[in-house]
Amino acid sequence: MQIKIDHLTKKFPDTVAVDDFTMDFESGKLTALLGPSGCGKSTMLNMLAGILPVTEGHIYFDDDDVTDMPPQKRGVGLVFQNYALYPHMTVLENICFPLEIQKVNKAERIEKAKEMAKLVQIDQYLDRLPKELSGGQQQRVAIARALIKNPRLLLLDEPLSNLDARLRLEMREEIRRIQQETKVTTIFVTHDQEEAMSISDSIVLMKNGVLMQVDKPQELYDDPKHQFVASFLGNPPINMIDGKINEDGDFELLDNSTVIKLNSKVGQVGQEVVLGIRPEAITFDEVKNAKAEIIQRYTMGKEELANIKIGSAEIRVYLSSDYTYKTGDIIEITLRDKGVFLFDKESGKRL
Amino acid sequence: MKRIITLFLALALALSLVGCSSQNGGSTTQDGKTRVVLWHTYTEDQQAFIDQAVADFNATHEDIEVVVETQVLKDFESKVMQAVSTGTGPNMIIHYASEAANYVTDDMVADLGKYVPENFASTVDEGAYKEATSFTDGKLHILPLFTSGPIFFYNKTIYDELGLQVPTTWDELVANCEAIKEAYPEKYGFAADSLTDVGQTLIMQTGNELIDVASKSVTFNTPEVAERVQWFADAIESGLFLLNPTISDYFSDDFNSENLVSYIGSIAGAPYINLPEGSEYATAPVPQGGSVEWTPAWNRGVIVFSADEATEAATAEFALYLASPEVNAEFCKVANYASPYQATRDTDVYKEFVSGNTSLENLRSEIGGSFAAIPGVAVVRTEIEKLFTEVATGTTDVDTALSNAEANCNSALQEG
Amino acid sequence: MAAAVLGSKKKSGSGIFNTKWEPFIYLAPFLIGIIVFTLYPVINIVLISFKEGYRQITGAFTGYGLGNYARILSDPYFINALKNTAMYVIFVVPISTVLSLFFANLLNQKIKGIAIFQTAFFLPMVTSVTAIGLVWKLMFNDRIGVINAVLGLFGVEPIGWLIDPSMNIWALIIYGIWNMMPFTIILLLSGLQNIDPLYYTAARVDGASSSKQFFRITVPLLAPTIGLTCIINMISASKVFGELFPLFNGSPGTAYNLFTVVYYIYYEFSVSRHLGYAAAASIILFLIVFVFTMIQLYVQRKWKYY
Repeated sequence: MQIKIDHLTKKFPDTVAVDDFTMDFESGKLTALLGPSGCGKSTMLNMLAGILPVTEGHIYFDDDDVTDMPPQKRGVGLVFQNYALYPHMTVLENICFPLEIQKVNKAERIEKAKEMAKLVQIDQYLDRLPKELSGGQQQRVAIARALIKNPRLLLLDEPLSNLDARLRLEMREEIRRIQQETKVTTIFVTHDQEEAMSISDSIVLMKNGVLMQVDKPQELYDDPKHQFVASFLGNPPINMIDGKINEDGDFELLDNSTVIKLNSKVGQVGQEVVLGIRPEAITFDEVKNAKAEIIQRYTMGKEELANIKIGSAEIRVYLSSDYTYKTGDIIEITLRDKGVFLFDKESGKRL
Repeated sequence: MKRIITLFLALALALSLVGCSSQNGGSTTQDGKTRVVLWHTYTEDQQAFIDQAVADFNATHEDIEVVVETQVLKDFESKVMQAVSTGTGPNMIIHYASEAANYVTDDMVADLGKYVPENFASTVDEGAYKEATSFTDGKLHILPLFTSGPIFFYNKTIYDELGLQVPTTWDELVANCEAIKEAYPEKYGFAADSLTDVGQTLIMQTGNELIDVASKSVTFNTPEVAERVQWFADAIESGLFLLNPTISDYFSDDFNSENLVSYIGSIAGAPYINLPEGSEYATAPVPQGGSVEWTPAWNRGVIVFSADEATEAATAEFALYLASPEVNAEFCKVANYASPYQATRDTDVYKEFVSGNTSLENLRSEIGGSFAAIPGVAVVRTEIEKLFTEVATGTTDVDTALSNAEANCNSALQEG
Repeated sequence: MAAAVLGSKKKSGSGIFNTKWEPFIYLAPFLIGIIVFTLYPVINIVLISFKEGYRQITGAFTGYGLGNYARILSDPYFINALKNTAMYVIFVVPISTVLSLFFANLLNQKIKGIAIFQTAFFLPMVTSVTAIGLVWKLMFNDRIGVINAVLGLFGVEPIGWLIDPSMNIWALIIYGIWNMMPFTIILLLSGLQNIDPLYYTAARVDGASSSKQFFRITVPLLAPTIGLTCIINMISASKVFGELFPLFNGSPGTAYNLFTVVYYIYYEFSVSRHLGYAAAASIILFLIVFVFTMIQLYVQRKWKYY
């Protein structure tokens, strides 16, 4: 099912949570709503579910205008952050509950529930109470409960945030698998870029209720349209250096301490800009763009990094141990084409 | 070690809290005076009178010191019994003979016969003396001080309007009630604040003694009594009498709202009567109508608890002081009670007090009587009320109710 | 543990201090209070209930035995008291709980001016018993009472609630239900407020109606609280006594027909002055309440979900 959001706005008494939001969600895909906390992504989800009324604009499920439709008529399955499993019902009863409401006969709903339980691989725990399950198992039950009524749309609110790191990896694969098996259009909310990058077909990045960019995960990383997008994605984070374009079309630091030559001269002379350099976008093989001093080298897990200083700006780069530079060495660096972005200082837009 | 001592001191303190005021119960003060402790529940004018009487007494008796301790009315009797049983009680209280009865079996109340003059019986009303000596051992365990009781209150305005005469007999009362019902169908003619007392009156007026002290049994299971119980029930049934107050706990409120035209209630209830503008009430003696003239009298007096000889004698001396004509007359005056003593009635103070006090005259204490003061009599009081209500509400027929009441009373009297 | 903490670091001091007994010194005032004011009276009551021919004043008795128990268990007043008390518990507890649940649920809504209603429901708890008694007496009045007036609209003949002994128990039960509700509502309301609103959101997304939400979510999740209030109310209903006074001028029913167990205890103690019977009746009441409490503890454990 395709979802069309048309100039959607949600105002609360003292804030605007979602601001004039327009986009389409692709049918049968897994889409992540990504953004820092308070960006309006959960509000968005709740409006899609029908729990929150809309202030302005419209939501369409295929051709149905569901803007004012109550949640139970929309055919959405919702998985809550803390699962909201009914503590007094067994796993089986929890999964059956939506069908019980729809007055499906008992034999049929139990059969259907068992099928769902098998899909999410909790069929051996049907008689247990939620408190007797691990977080991951509860998550599976919540998904099964959301899926049992064949929803047109599956919504997951921060589905992995209550799990420990190891389970989180496992569950995100599971969500991916279940989505692919059922082909249900799925939207999930997360603030974790890695989570979004690893399983979603596309990512919707939001900031302060405004849509920043919608794209496939890798596109979003490789081709950010906005300074915020570039800085939100990536770990270690992208380096941002304030400066301006000099007469040669190159980047010069604000204090004029140094010039970094740019591969593509897209800025206008004198324009104040921000140069974004991903840590992996610097090489040392051919001398080309700027001089830098090694401040410190260190290792984080398998990654070898260094802080280097270009003029007055200090940035973090990958520095493989093949290079034998020591702290204090002055070296020359090369900017790769990929992973280097120039943004307008004022608007944050990519140049 | 010092700390352990502190600990024990704390413990002693805590324990002394439990038995607070444990210094009572007849002792000699440091200056050689015999100490007498009086517990009472009087308030306001009556409390002031007692304080004055005690002060006067103490001033004129160098070897005795009377100490007054005011107690709250609630659970006073249980509190006294508790205190007496632990030896921390008072030396005297002012109460009914029935309360003294609870202590007679265990020999915890003094025999006042030793302290009163030989001609005492002839100085006090017959009914009061009879009650004061109606204990199982026949001794005098209470020194009567004053007499109260129920009288007949009626709405004089309505009586005059309907041309009714004040009833002197129960039959006249019923006739009056019928006339009232006819004129005002929504009004009730009569009610009894205490069904125990009216029931007792009806029984006693048949010539029944109610309790036979010697055999510790009741004598009211007779056809005459059955007839009286049924008579009362019929009057309730036909709507002439009202069984339960409809507004508050007392009939005075029904009387005040003129929902009720007459009732028998305590003489002390007069201050609570407040009829609407233009209406007035009057009082009369409790109706008669049996083979014997009888009316309830509630006699209160001094009960002296057993103690050492000196304390008992000192307590009795104070009790006799309270019963002396001048003091007794003053006490009756502040409490609005009748005195059972002829000597008191002869004092100027008393004469002035009763003149024009029709309520007191209507008390007719000269024919007043009471329940025998023996253990278990409280149950008899309850059973009489129950007997009349059970039959009046049609719960039980009169014969069964009488048999049940008799059985319950006898078992209570014999167990007491 | 307290001993370890208190006694460990001190070097000076002597005697009981620095030993395992030290904590008891600090607990002593409390312990003595408990022993003197609670434990001693309880033990005394148990002993008195077995003393035959007990004299309250002298403390004398003829011997230990079950005489007091045998006597009261064959006393029609006590049997009647047990029957009335059981009736009272059986009707008042479930009905007041169901009604309270209904009202607590209403009071838990986010409606404008709900505070006014909440206050109104709890007013009985802070109103004087005398005033309440007067109002109820009027309401129960057979001729001018509002209850009979309402029933009259449905063609019911006037009922002598406070006059007809056979109706006394029902007047007491109705009054008891009303009397018990405010406290029950408070307990249930606090229970309701502990239910995560997310469950209702989840149920709403699944299309559960309000009544479905109430019976499938509210009631089961509230079950531990309901169980607790039921037991508390059962215990307090077993002790029905003070409720008699405003309605029947302080006597148990129109014709001494409405003895309750506690009224019996009071009567035997205050009127008959049979402390032994009163003690035995107290012990029997205690055993009944004790059984209720045990059931409650057992059920409570079974109903814990999280």
